[in-house]
Amino acid sequence: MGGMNGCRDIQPLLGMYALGRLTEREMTALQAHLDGCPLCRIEAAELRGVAEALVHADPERVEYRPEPPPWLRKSVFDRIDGARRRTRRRAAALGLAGLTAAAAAVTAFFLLGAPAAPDGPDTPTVAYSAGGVRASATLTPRPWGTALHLSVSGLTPGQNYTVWLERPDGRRTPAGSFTAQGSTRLVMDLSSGMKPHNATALGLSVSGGGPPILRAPIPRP
Amino acid sequence: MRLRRSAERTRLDDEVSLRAAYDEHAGELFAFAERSLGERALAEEAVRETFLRAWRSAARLDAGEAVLRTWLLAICRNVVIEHACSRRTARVADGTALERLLTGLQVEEALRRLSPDHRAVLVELHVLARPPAAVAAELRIPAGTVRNRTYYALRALRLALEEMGWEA
Repeated sequence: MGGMNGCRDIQPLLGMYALGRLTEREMTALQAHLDGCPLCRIEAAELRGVAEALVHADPERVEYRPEPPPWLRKSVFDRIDGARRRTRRRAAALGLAGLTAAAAAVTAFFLLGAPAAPDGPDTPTVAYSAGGVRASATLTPRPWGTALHLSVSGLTPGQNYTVWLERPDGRRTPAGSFTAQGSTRLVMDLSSGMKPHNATALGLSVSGGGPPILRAPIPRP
Repeated sequence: MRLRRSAERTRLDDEVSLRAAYDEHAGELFAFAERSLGERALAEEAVRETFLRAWRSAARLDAGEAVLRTWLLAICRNVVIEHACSRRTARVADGTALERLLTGLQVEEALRRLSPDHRAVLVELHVLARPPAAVAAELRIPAGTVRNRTYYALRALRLALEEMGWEA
């Protein structure tokens, strides 16, 4: 039946149909076409949906739209910049904490009770033990590299030891050396030019060579 | 396909995209906030908050411009609701009224994108509910032209809404 009127002839009625403004005669003709034409049925339904939304429009608001003041743009991005700076600071602190947490996890089987961090919550502490040697270290980032706070016991008295940080390529950068004294726990502050985030491991060797006494890998966060 | 998608997607975490998003959508967001909250100062704060939240959750957005617009509007809508709940100065009493307002503002935005002829016939006929004969006289066009123009205006409106990310 829809063939009596082609889509092209009937389509202009779809607008008035969607708005509910067809005369009875037009409505009958359109209905006859729609019954046999799925494509026009789809279009009719779509335009109905648009017409339903259209009643929510306010003609006065179409003419005038309140605009943001020109300075708002800067104010929006100033706030985002502030948030970005805060996030970066936090990320730096979290990254370091994560690094130490990871190091602690890797050396878990050496793990002792961690001593209190000497410099507050920002300075992470790693504690580990191997072969009777007990050590704990704190790595603090500094502009020049890393400040290392080391506490160690159980080393051979009189023996000279070297503390180092290891790079991803295996090269080690010395962070200082010391001579062990009996079973006393030694506490010392050492430093390395390597940034904490470049260090893959922290270790201790007998000065002059030999295998590490302690080597704690520091996986990347 | 993959490449095209990645080239098209909008990365809001990059500063340039974020500023482009502001230039493109801040006006509409501000209008929505101003009309919901009834005060310019509250609307300004709502826009600041919207873009801050957008920047924070930008990593979760991987989409084109139309989706970006609806996403920003959705964030702004939440901000407006929070404002409306915390202050009693808001014009918007409940969620349904807010949804209606949001729909209305989007349609108005789409109407602005139509030609003046298309816009006029829809506003006169449907929004102001004038009889077709009166609209024909007002616009000085034959009745048949009103009918045809209404059809093409509605199609144009649907297209404009689709471009804005409208989902019927």
